[in-house]
Amino acid sequence: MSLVDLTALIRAILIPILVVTGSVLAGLLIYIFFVRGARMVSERRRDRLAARYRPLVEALLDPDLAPGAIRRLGASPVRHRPAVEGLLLAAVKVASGTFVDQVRAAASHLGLVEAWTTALGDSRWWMRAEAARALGCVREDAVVPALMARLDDDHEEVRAAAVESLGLIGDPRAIDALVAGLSRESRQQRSRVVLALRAFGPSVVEPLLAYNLRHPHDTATVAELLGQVHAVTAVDTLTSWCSDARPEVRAAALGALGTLGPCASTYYYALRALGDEVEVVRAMAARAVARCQRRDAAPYLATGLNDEWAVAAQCARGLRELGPAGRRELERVVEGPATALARQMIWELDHRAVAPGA
Amino acid sequence: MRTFFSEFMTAFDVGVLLYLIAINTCYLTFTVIAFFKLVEHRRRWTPREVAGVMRSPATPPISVIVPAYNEALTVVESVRSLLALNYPQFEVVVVNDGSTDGTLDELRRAFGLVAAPISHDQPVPTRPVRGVYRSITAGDIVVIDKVNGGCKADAANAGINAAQYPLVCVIDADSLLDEQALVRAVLPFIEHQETIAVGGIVRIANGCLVDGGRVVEARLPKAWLARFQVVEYLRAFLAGRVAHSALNGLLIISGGFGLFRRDVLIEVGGYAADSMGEDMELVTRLHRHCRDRKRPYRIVFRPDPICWTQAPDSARGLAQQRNRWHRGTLEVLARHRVMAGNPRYGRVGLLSLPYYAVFEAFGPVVEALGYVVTVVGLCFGLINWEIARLMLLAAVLYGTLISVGAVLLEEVTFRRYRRVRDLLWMLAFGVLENFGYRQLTTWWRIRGWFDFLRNKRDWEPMPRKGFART
Repeated sequence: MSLVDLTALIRAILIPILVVTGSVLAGLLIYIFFVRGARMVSERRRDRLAARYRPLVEALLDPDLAPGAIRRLGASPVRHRPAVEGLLLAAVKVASGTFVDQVRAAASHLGLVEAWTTALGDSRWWMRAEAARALGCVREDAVVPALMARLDDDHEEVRAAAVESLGLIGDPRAIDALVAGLSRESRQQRSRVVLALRAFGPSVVEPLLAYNLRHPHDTATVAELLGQVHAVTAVDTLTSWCSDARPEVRAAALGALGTLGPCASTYYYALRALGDEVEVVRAMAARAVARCQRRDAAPYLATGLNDEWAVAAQCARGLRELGPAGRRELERVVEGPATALARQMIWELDHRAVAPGA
Repeated sequence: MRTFFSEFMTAFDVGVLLYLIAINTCYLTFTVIAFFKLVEHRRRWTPREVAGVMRSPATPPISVIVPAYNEALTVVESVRSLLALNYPQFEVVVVNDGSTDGTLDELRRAFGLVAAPISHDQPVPTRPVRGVYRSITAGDIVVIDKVNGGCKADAANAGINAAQYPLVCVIDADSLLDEQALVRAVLPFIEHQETIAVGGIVRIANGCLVDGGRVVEARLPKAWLARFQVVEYLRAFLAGRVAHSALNGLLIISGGFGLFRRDVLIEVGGYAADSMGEDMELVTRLHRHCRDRKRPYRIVFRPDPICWTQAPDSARGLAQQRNRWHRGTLEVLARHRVMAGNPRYGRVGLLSLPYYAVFEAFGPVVEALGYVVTVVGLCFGLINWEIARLMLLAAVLYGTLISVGAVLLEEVTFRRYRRVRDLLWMLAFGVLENFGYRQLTTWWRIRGWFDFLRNKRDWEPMPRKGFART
């Protein structure tokens, strides 16, 4: 190819590239300025509307002023509703008690509850998720069946919002559906379900045990959850799981018993589990023994100081919490791998205020 | 003869031009992928989600590791800002890597440290630990005092050993973490159990308003060199890393801010103390380790956990930094060369490593050759002026397009720079960087090549200035 041909070829390639790149660049610049300008205008408007309606939202805190405030909020132009909605939701997220009732009444009066309920069926997932969250924030129990239906939504965010909202509303009708959600796919989703169920307290014990019968592979999660909801009525079930064939179930049961705190039957099951063949089970057993706060536990915990690191650390922490009896055992450790750990615990006893269970 | 040279030089320049078009097309593709990913990300990760992490019993505790070598000027402020992080349970492990400027004394004074026994297991080999200090008054701080290891990696490894929690976050002592950084960075670990590492975005703190160890308002730096880097960082993190992460081929988690599973770090032996690019080396090794064992894993980048860092604002400091980064990249590519092009390593082997080799490692060489050939050709009248002008214009326009694209990503997502004049400056610097700054960084990276070939291993730490206050 001659130089002239090459030059012509380069020109033929470059000129379209330059035209396209230049046009795209100009388009991007215009878009950036447009986005910035639009945002600035929108933020100013939002601030103006917030200044106008915030006193009315704050008036909802006062039962005497609330009816008037609700009436005046209801009289706001439709184009101001998104701003009012934002103020109501921002306020209700950090509130509880009668204020939530007033916000719910205001939202209902403004037609927001109806709009959110309709939005639960929107084709855009983020609209469904926002609507579910909003309904949960105002504790609207009339929509519990609709939220329960969203537990089977295609999008995880919507399911997550539904779980959280059902937990906030706290309607017992949702317990079974939430417990069934424990078998959902992601760990994050499961932890949301756990959180939501915790809000119901001990009333979830029966549905949880029933769920466990249907899903025996989830016993470890159920055990963990029983501990988190402080299910003292489930101590017998948990102690029976201490001898389960699956180590993760034994560990979760002992972990839950440790969370539940001092209990005579826990103590003996936990002592027995100190000799378990699996490290994590022994570690949880040591924690449970320590949480029983019995002075005679000190020699048993001392035997675990030369165990695997996780077990030794739990035993050492347990001894630290047992007062003089535990300290005596720690001071007896003069050689072996536990020496450093024991010295650390004694140092912590001397220098730091140790929170129980730390 | 003259015609032959003329044809050769024009053809060479065309080759360079095609290379530039290819590299910028890669960046443009990254920008487009990142745009959709970031918009999705903004919709999904609401403040409510963050609040959920704070309450959740599944939220794992984190050990924040701060390797510090001669950081007396900034370390106390950095640790104070870390202690004020919004996270349910965490400890701060400062590793004093044999500092000679009184870093340990500053820490002892500020946090009432007292000597504590060395009681932790030390599975990753490091230089000897001289002592452990704990704070009685200021929360969960552990200070590990060790013999200088000559690199950040050794200090980070000592911190990994001392960490008591399942996740470790390794940061730089001169960095400031955003208040929500840990909460946002931990989400992938909760969501997907196979997540082993998460990287966050590093932004430039120069010029920002800092109060109580917090960046309260993002502003552009006053120094021009640092301003260029703001746009450069946006391009690298918001476009490059988001896209690499979306393609599951992330190779770098910045040493300034990375969150890792401690057990996996111990399994791979921690950071490589003999590497110049220890952050990239670690992530590449994690990929290799998991792929070799056919273990499912995720290494992801999240654009919202922010780490604010001081960028070098002098030519000398920046030259050293770029030289070291380039040596690090070359060394990692050489060390893990068996992975490149190997289908066994999936997208990392087939896409990421070849991309780094072709465009990141050899980019400055090709670019520098292009400049040399063009200048020589023009001087001797061997290259057509019009063609040279068109090629220059194409390179500048395409380069500007990528920079403006990165600013757009920032503008439609996080919009940290609220002042209109900062936006205008960023756009202006996206254009200006093509005239001088780009050529300078190319030269520094070429010197990185020479130093790599000479096996030069030393590096000077950047002089610290402390953070400006409101």
